[in-house]
Amino acid sequence: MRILEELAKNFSNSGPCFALTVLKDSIMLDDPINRYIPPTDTSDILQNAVNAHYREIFDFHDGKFTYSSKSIAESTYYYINRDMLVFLKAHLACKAPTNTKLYKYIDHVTYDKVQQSEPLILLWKYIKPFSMNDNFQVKETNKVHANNVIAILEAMREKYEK
Amino acid sequence: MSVFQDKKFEGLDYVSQLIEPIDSQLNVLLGELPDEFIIDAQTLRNLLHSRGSSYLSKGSILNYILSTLHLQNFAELINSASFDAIEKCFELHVDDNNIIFDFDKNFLSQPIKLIKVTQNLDDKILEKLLGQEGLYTVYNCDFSQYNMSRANDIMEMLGECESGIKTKTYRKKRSVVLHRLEAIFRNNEWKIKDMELANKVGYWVRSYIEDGNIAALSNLCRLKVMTHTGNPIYSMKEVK
Repeated sequence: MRILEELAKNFSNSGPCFALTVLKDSIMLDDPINRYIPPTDTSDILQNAVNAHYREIFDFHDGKFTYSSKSIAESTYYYINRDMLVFLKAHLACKAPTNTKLYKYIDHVTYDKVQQSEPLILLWKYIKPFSMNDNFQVKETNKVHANNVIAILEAMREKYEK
Repeated sequence: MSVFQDKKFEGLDYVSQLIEPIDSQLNVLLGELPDEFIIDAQTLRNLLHSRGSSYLSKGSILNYILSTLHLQNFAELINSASFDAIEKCFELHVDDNNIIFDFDKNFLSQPIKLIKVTQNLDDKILEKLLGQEGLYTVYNCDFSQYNMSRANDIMEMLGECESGIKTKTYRKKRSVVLHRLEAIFRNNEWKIKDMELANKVGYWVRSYIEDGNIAALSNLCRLKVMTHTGNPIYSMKEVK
C-alpha cells in the first residue's frame, strides 16, 4: 500500500449527532457535536500532514460519517508537491527557478506516478524539518541537506523525463 | 342557456357579487392540509435521506408531507408559483432553539412543527397567480413558420398586437403574444375571477396555435366577448 494511504487508513469518525438550526423556512444540520479532529502535533511529520488533510463526509443513507483514504492521500500529496516547489524556488541557484527543467518536472509529478511521487514524499519528509519558515528557508549549516535533495531530484528527473 | 352566460357569477349572493372575490381551488387545497405537522426523529431522518443534504428548505419539507398524506391532486393541480404561495402559509417552529439530532439512536431532543400560519390565500396573492399556469404552457408553445397564421389569429383576438401581426418572424410573434398575455393578467383586463378559467386561457392559446384546435379558439373568442359586459367572469360554457 502507498505511504500516505497507509497513514490515512486508521482514522476514527465523528459521531452522527448534530445540533440543528431551525429557522422559519429551513432546517440545517450544524457541525457534529463530537467532531473528530485528528491531532497535527505528533512526532511524525508525515502523519501530521495526513491528519491535517483529514476530511469526512456524512452519508445520509447509512447515517454515518465516512472518509476515503485515497482522497486524503491525494490532498496531502498535492500539498507536499506544492511545498516542494516552494523549496525549489528557495534553493535553486538561478534567477528564475520556476523556468528550470527541474521545477517544471516536479510540477508534473502527479500522485498516480507512483515511482516518482513516493520518493518525492520521502524527500519532503526528510527536508521539511529543516525548514525555518513558510518559504522553506534553511540555516546555512543545513544547506547541505537542501543540496542533497536537489541532487536526488535532478537524478529522478534525468531518469524519468525521457 | 346563452353561450355567454356566467352561471357561477349568477349563483353568487349579492354581497359576493359586489366584492368579486377570486375563486380558487388553492384555498380548498390549503384547507385540506393539516394546521400542524409534527416532524419527529424518523420523519427528519427520512427527509435528510431523501434530500441527501444537510439543508432542508420549507418547500422540500412540505413536498414530503404532501407525499405522505397522498394528496396527489395537489401536486397535479398546482404549478411552482402556486406552490410557493402555499408554502408561505406555513412556518417551522421549535419551542427551544437548543435541539439535538442523533442519527444512530434516532433521537430528536424535541419535535419540530410545521404550522399553518395563514388559513386562506388573500385575493391580492391570488390575483398574482391568475393565468400563470396557462402562461407557462405558452412559454413552451411551438411558434414556428408553419403556424404563423394561427398566431396572427390569436393576436387579433387578444388585441393590441399590431407589431406582432405585421412581423414575419415567429420569434417576434411569440414574444408579442407572451407580452400581451402577461399584460392581460397583470392588470386583469378581462376581469377573470376564477383561477382555473384564467389558467385555461394559456392552454387554449397553445392548443390553437400548435394543433389548430378550433374548439380552443372558439372558447377564447367567447371569453373575449364576455369581457365586453364589464362584469367579472367566473365561468363560461366550454366547447371541447
